[in-house]
Amino acid sequence: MLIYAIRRILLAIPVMGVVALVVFGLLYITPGDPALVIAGDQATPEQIARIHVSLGLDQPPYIRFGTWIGQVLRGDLGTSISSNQTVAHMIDQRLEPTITLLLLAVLLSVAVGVPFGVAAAWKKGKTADRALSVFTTAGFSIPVFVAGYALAFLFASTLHWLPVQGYAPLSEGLWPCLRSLILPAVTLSLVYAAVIGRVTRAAMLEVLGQDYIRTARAKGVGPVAVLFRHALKNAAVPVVTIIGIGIATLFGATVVTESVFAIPGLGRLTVDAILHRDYPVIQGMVLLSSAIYVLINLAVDLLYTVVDPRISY
Amino acid sequence: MPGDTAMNATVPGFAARVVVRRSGRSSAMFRFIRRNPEIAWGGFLLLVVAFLAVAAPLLGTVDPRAISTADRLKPPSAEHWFGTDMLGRDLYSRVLYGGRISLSIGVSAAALSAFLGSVIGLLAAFGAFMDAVVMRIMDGIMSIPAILLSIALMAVAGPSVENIILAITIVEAPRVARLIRGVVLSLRSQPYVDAAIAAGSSMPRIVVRHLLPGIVGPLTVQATFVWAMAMILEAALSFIGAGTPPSTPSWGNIMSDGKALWQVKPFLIFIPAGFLSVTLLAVNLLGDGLRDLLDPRLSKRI
Amino acid sequence: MPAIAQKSADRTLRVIHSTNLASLDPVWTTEPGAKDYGFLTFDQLIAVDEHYVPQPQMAEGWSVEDDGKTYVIGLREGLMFHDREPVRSQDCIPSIQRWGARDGFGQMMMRFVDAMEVIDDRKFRIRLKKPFPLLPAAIGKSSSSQCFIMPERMAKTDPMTAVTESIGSGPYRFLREEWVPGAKAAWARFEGYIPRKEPVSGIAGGRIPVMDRIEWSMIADASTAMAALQAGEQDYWDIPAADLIPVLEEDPNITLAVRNPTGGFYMMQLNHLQPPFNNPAVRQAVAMAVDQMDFLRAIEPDIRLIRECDSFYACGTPNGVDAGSDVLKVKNVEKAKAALKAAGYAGEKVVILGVMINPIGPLCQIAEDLLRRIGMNVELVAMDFATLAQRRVSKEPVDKGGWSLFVTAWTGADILNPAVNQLLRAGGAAKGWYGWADDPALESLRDQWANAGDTATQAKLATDIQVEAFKSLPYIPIGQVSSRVAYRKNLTGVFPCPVFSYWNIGKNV
Repeated sequence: MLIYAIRRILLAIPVMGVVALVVFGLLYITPGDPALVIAGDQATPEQIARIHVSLGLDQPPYIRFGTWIGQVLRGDLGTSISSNQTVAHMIDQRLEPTITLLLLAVLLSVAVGVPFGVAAAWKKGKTADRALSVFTTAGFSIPVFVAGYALAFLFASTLHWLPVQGYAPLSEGLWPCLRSLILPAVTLSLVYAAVIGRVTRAAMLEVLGQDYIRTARAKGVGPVAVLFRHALKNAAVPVVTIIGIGIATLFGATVVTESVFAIPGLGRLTVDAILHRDYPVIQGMVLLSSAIYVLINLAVDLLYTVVDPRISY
Repeated sequence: MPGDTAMNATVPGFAARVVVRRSGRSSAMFRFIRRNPEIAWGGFLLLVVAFLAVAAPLLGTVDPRAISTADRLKPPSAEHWFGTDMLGRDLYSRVLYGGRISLSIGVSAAALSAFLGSVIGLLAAFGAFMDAVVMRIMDGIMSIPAILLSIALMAVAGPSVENIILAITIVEAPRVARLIRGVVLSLRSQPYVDAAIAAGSSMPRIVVRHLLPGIVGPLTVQATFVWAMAMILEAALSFIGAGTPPSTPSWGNIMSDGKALWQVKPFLIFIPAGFLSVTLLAVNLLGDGLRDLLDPRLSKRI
Repeated sequence: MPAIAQKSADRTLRVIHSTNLASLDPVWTTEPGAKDYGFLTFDQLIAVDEHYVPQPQMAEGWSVEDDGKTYVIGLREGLMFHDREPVRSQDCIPSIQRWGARDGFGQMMMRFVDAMEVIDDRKFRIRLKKPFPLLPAAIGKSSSSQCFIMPERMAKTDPMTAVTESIGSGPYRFLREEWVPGAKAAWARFEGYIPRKEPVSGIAGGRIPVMDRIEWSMIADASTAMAALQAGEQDYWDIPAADLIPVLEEDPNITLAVRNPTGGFYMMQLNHLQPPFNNPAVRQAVAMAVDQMDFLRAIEPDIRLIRECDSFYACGTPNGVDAGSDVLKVKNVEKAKAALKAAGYAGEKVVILGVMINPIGPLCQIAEDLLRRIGMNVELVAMDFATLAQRRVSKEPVDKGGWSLFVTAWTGADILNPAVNQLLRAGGAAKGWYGWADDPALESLRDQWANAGDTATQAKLATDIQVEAFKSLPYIPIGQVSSRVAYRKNLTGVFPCPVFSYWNIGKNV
C-alpha cells in the first residue's frame, strides 16, 4: 500500500504541473495590470514602467513562469504585489478560519447527512423517504447567500444568540471560536448535508438490494444492525468519495459564506487577489488548493482499504 | 446491464408489481407519472418556469432595461407587481426576462459540457496514451476550485452571457469526461463489444450502436446536475461581482444588485431566489427521477 | 460577551472600514485604504483647516522671505517617530522629495523648487526659482497623495517601490503583527505623540489619540456590516450603504452625521482622441441632455444630501461657482437629440467602460440609458477595476480595444483648484489624465494660474478656466453627493473632516 501511495503521489506531479501551467497561462492572458491598479490615477507611463520592473512584470512569460516554478520548488511562494507580504504569510494568516469552518461544516454535514440517507434508504418509497428527499433537495436548491442572510437575520440580528459576523480565533478560546462559526457552518452544511444524504441513500439502496442483506434479514438480524453493521460499511465507498469531492466543490460555497459572514478566510483572499490581479497570491492559492484536492483524493482512496477490506492495493 | 433485468424478473417481490395493463397511451402516461413522481414534478415545474420565461413578452411585462430613477425601490403594487429595483426598473419584467438568461445559461452549459465531455471521454477511453495525457489534464482542471477558475476565465474574456456559459462548460466538462470514460471503459469490456470488434465493425458503428445507448443514461443524469451547478455558479459569480452586467437581467445579477438591501427590501432577493430555487428543485428532481428510472441496478425494495 | 473582551472593547474604536488596506505606502499607491492608514500612522508638516487654509501641524510655523522665493520651516519640539527617534529636518526633506515625485500637486511644486537645505535638526529651507504661494497648500493638502513625513531611511526609498516599514510619527502606532490584508488592521495609541493645542478644524488642529486602540474590520457585505453595527459588534461605519440609511436612522443607538460637507463629485470622463467625442459639438449635445438629479437620485435617495453642481470645481468652496455652465442647464433630451444630429453624429459606436460596483455601477447604467435616448449607438461594457485601469490607457479606436466614456468619482479636495484637478488638464494626447482633452486656451490659462503671484488673480483665472472648460468640455460633471457616516451613540468627538480621521474620537461606556 505504501508503494501505491507513492505511485499516486508521483502521478500527482504532472497534474500539479498542468495546474501550474493553466493558472499561469490564464493570468498571463487576463487583461488588467497590477501596476496600474497600484500606481493610481496620477502615474505617468514612465512611472508605470518602473513599477513593472520592480514587480518583475517586464520579463517575457517563459522566464516569469520558470522563475516562479523555481521559487515554488524551493518552498517560496513569492510576495504579494499589493501588500508586499509573503504569500506564505498571507495564506498562513487566513488558514485557521477557513479550516476550522470547513471542519465544522463537514462534521455537521456528515452527522446529519449520513443518518438521513440511511433512514431514507430504509424507508424507501414511504412518505418519510419522500419528505427527506424533498428536504435535502431543498437544501441543495437554496442559494448559499440567501440561506446565510436568513440564518443571520433570525439567530443573530433578531434573537441575538450568535454574532452577526466575524471570526474569533482559537486563541481566544474554543467556545468563542465555535460560537462565531456556528451560523456559517450551518449555512455551508445545508448544501453539503443534502449531497451527502442523497449519495448515502443511493449507495445504501444499492447495497440493501444485495442477497446477503436479504439473508441477514431472513436470519432475523435486527434492522439497526443490518443497516449499520452490514450495509453502511459496504456502502461506504461512494459516501467517502462524495465527502472527499465535496470538500473541493464546497470551495465556491465557502467563498460566498466567508463574504456574508465577514470571515477572514482563504476564499475571500483568493477572490480579492483575482480582482486586484495579485498574481503571486492567485498562483499560490490555486496551487495550494489543487494540492489539497489531490491529497484528499489520495486519502479517500486509502480510506477505501480501511472501510472495504475487499479493496486493496 | 441487460443481464440484470432477467434476474430481477425472478425476484419474488417483482411479481407483485405487475399491473393490469389497460389499453391507451394516456393511461400509460398516468402510470408513468405515478411510478416516477420525481420526473413528473420536476418536468412540470420546469415547464412552468420555461413557459414564464419564453412567454415573457405576453405576460404583462415592460422593457426590463427601462430606467426611471424617480420610481426606485417601490414595493409591490398594482403597477409594478413585484416592485422596482434600485434604478426604478420593473422587477416582475426583470425576473421573467431574467429567467431566459438563467435558464439558457443552465441548458447551454449542460448541453455543451455533455457534448464536450463525451467527446473527451470517448477519446480517452480509446487509447492508453491519450487516456493518460487527457485524464491528467482533466484532473488538473478539476482540482482547481470551480469558482476560482470561472472568475479567472470571466476576467480573461470579459463578463457576458456567452462567456459565463463557456467558463462553466470548461469547469464542468472534465467531470463529464471522467464519467463517460468510466462508462465506456466498462462497456467496452462487455463481450458483445469484443464480438463486434472481432467481426470487423467500424469504430463509428461500434460507438453508435453499442456504446451510445449505454452512455445516454448516465450522461443525461449528469447533464441535469451540470444544469443545476451552472445556475448556482452563475448566482455565486454574480454575488461576488464577476457575473453578467446588470443591464441584461439574470436571476443571479438581480439578486446581486439587491443584496445590500435585503433587510429593507427583501423582495429584491427573495423573489428571484424563489424562482431560482424552484428551478433548481425541478432540475434536481428530474435528475433524481431519471437516475432512478435509467439505472436498472437500483432495487425497488429491501 | 465575556468580561475581558468587553473591557477591551470599551477602549477600542472598532471601525467597519469599507475599503481594503492592501499597501502600507500612501505615496506609492493612491488606494483610499492607504490614505486612511497614512493619516493614523504618519503626521504632516502643514495641514489645511476646514476652510482649506494651511495651518502648521508638525511645523511650529514657517516664514516666507525673499519676495516669496524662500520658505523656512521650523519643527515643533519633542516630535518623535514610533521607534522613539526624533523627527529631524533630515527626515522631512527626503519625505517632501519622494512625495513630490509622485503627486500631481507635488510635481507642480517641485518644478518651482530650486533646492531644499537643512539649517539644523529642527529647521530647513526651501528655495524656489519663482514665487509659488501655493506651497503651504500643497504640502498641507488633504487629498491623495498627502505629504506624510517618514523617517529618512524610508523616505529615501525609490518612489516607484513601496516602503516596507510602517514607522511614522502619527498619533497611532500601526500594529504590524495584527494586520491581515483584506480583513483586519489595528493601531495602538502612540504614547510619545504630542498633539497641538488648537481644537480640530479640517485636518488641522490637535490630533488627540483618545482611544487606546483602533481596529478596522473590512466587512464587504453591506447588510452584514449594518447588522454588526446594530448589534454593537462594531462602533463606526465609514461608508454606510445609502439605501440602508433609513434603517439606521430608525435605530435609537445609532447616529448619522455628515463629516465631509463637500462630499463626493461624479463626472463622465470623455475620450477626446476618438469619435464621436473628439467632436466638441457632440460633447455639447450630450451635456445638454444631462440632468444631474437623475443620476444622483439613483445612488442617494435622501435629496438633502444631493446637490447639482454646475462647476468644474467643488461647489461649496471658493472656486465652485457656476460661471459659464449654461449648457448644463438645458436638461432637454429632444434638444440634445437635435444638437447631436446637427453636430454630424453618424452612429459611431460609444463604448462605456463600467465597473459595476456601487455607486459607479448605477451611474454607468444611467449614462448608457441617457445616451441611447438621445440617439447614440452605445454599449456598456462591464469589467473589474483592474481591467478598466488597463483599458482606459488605450488611445485606439473602440473596435481596437479603446473606449469612449467612463464614470469616475473624486472628493471635493481633489477638484478644489486647477492644480489638484487632474481632469482639468487639456494638453492633448501627450499629457494629462485619461481622456486627453486638447484645448490650448485652457492650458495657457492654467499656466497663468500657476504663475499668478496673488490669490485674487488666481481666483479670477480659476473662473476663466472654468468658462473655457465649459466650451471644450474636458469632462461632464454629474453632480455632488454628501455622504454620511454611521456610528453608535456612545461615541464622542466625531468632527467634520474631509478625510476619514479617527483621532479626537472617544467612547462613553
